[in-house]
Amino acid sequence: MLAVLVGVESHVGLAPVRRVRNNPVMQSTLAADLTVLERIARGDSTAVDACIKTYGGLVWSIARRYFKRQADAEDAVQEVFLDLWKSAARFDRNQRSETVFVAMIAKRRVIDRFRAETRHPAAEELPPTGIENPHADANPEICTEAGQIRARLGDLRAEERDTLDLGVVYGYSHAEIAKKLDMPLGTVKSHMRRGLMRLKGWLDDEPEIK
Amino acid sequence: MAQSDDNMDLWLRALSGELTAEERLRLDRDDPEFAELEELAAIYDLARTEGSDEPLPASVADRIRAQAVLPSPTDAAAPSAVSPIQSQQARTPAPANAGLAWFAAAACLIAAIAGWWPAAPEPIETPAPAPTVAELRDQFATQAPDLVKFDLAGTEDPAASDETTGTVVWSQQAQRGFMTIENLSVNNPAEAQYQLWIFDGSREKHPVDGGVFDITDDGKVIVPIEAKLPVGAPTLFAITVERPGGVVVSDQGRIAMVGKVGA
Repeated sequence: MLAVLVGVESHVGLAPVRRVRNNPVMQSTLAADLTVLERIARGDSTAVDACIKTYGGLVWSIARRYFKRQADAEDAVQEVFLDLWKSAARFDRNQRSETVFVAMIAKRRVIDRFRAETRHPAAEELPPTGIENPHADANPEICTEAGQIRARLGDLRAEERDTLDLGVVYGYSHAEIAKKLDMPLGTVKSHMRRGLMRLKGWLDDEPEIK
Repeated sequence: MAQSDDNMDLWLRALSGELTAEERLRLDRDDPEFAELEELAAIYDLARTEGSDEPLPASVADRIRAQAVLPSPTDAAAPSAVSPIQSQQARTPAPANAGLAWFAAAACLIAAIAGWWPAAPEPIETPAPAPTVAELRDQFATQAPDLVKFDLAGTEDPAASDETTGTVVWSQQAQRGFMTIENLSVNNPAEAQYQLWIFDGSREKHPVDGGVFDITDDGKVIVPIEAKLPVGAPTLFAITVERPGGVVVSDQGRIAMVGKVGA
């Protein structure tokens, strides 16, 4: 469903293209048009650096939103990349963009780990929060779908945006969101649900929920 | 995407990690529609946070690189198979007992050397060291087009003193900023932490959570501000003393520093 709207993300030219000599056939079939994860799935070890360079900032930033202790975030990021190496073969560019695939894996891993541990770990020094986006620098067209949503964020109702921010971006439980926003639990869920359906409508280019 | 209340409730709880491992396993196995919602959540996350990614620390990147385990090229059709990365010199075909297997392995090796492996190792780029928080703040202060700067002052709370001072740089457009704090008491993170709150004139209820932080040094500390919600019209920044990890809603029982925007 969403895949209909997902354009094939081009990483050509961003990830270093492997030099293949003396074999033009292999060159045309292996080096051309492969995304970082597709190269990983083929066991191309040179794609490891490209993957870290392309998605390291994204994965790290997701982990940092959940873990205030640097060591915890580091462990979570390593776990995410281990999962990425294993899951790379499941990436299908016709289903979703590579960035979204990586973000899905990263969020799932980080949230699972976060929930498995105490919600209030002893904090250490807060590391710097970057204001640059090396991820975006590496690929200005990094995620078409996110761009579609970002362009219409102002159309989300404030309550929908707030509940989605706290629940989806920062991983607060529904009970915590209810307390933070001083809303009944059911209302929190309703706002989240309506917000998500609205986002889905935008991606599907269907009539907006009123 | 089905929209039944039961399903949606389960999905929403799954998104915030509130399911048991068993529930989650069942959801993944039996409900393919959940993947769509998970995808939607990831897209929303990307849309809300793009432009704010922190660089991955070089030491972490090095560890990931060292531990990388990729599928073997010959197992590309079998996604579950993985093998550790080895140097090209060290990589050898798997041992086999039958002569035919040896022959096949040798043939594969020759083919791989001839066509698949690059003739020379790819140069590995060394990531640039991550900028310090002071560098990030300075960069932010010179680049943010709508920067506002104002002072924070200590209160009568025991954590503050007459010498406690601070400044805030904040960009409404970027929805981020930095605090520079001097002479606020060092906290024991196991007992209490500081938490920033941004009072927002456009919100009637609670102030916006600006993040939890520690004072680890008696001197100057620079703290990035991480507003958990969009701030419409910031009026006042306040630092409270809270339990470890911070709180969802502060009772504002201990306010250590305050600063009025525009003062």
